[in-house]
Amino acid sequence: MEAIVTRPAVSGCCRAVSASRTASSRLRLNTTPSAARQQSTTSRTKKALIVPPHATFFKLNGSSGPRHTTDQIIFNPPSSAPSPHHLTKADIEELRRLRAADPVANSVQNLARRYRCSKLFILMCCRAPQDHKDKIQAAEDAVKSRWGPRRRQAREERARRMGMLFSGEL
Amino acid sequence: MKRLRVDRWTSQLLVARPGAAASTPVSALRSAAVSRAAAVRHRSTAAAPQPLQEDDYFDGTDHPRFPPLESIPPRSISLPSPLPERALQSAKLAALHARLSLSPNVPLQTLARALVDASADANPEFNNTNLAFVGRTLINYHVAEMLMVRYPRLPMEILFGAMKGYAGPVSLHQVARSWGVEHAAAPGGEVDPGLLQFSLSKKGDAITGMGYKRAELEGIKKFKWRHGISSRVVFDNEFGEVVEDDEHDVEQLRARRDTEYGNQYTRALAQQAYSTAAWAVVGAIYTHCGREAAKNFIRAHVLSRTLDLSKLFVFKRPTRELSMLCAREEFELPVARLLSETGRLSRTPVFVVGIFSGKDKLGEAAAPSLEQARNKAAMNTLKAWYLYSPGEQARVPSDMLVDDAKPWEPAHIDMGEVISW
Repeated sequence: MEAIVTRPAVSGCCRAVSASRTASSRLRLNTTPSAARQQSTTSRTKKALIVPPHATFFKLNGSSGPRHTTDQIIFNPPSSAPSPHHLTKADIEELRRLRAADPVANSVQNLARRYRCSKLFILMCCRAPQDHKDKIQAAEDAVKSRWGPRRRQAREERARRMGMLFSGEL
Repeated sequence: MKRLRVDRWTSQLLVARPGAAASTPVSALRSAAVSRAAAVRHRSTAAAPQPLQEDDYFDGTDHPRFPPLESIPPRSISLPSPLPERALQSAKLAALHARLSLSPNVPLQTLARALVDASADANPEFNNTNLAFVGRTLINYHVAEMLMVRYPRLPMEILFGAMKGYAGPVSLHQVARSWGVEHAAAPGGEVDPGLLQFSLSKKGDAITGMGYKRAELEGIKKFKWRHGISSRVVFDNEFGEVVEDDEHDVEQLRARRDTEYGNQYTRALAQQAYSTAAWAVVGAIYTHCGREAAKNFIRAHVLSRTLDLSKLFVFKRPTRELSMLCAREEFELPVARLLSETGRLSRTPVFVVGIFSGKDKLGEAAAPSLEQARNKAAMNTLKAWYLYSPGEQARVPSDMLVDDAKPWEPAHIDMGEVISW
């Protein structure tokens, strides 16, 4: 985003820096103070610090004057519309059928690759059968039951740290 | 402060306007001083004590040992709140009037009424319910207007939180305390009208809030039913909180209120009474001095408070939210890149991760793990987007209500929520 510089001292510096790129400009950024031409008079300093208003303050077609002073809303956003998707309703029905029929072979990742959509979309539109969920959960619990106190505590603390990070406490 | 009015420091005591009405505070101060001096002299001589009417004056204290500080009109003990004319004699009230730099147009009687809660006096002609409703709507309007113009991209949930931070009961309770408002131990007709009066045994039944009581309230409380942001805008109060009657589970606290110094219940009642008084003072200013005076008062006492909006954010999946934002705004897909690192194999590593969209760096963060650094950088990027501000001096719609207002320049209006849960 383009910053609009309003502080006179800073704007003078900015102008000097940008002007030093073009050799034709009168005002230069001098790094050696001894060689610098001093802004000895008030009028010279004031003249050097005159910066034209930012381009956004003018009309786009180049005419002078303030840009918009009417009582209208200039930015009228389009109403939200669902993003078009390449999957039809029949595709989604088929996807659900496949997932329910063989949740192991038709895993979320496999279906996402096959239908060229995100895993999140698969998770949104279909649900695994309950016995498959129970099986997954049992396997997970078996792994967790082998954890000792240190590993368990470390994982709990890691999760809590991530929660603190998301709420801005870390 | 620039509101010191030197010409009013002494002139009110020296200059006697012949036709001054008794309702103006200036003349009120004078008459209060005179009458109080008269009362004291009368009592100090004690040559001919007036026969006290026991039923009118008896308030449970031993009057010969503890004489009252001022003469109380007859039958005021039986009233729920002080008589309006006693407002003219209250030093506390005059001090509060002066401390808030209120206009002379605000009579002391109205200020006294702003300090009577509905739980002290149920009569709406003598309590502050109506004034508080006006003041509450005004404060909410000005805070909402300021936030929407100054931070046009705030998500609705953060906007609700910011509204509560500026105009919520907790904040206004602090504001009223900072004005030096003190409360009476118990309400009654004999207390000083300059004290805030509310009951510690019951809640006033005045309706000063917004919002509707939901039909599915029990389900929301018991089963944590989802109530999305859209329904919160429509049904809930101005801070997005579910409206409920919080008079449950307080029986025990209420029973203990006299044996303890104070408990959760009494503190809640005090907080409500103080915030209602703050609303009522704003309502009084609006009633007697008009729109601009009320706006200036709100700006000085409510909007001038500092609230760090960046502390209000709580994210769930910042990386996903950021990619949705970039997709919506047609930026390139955000990519996290490791900018620098140190001590990867040590106990305290530091990773600096930047989020890039094409060639533009959107945000950066440092954290002790790669995962945390990526999430933190995404959070910083999102905060930079959400907290965009056209500047402190952005004009709000109510600035246009003055007569010589410059033509309106359209404010930035954002597209809306990036993600809604």
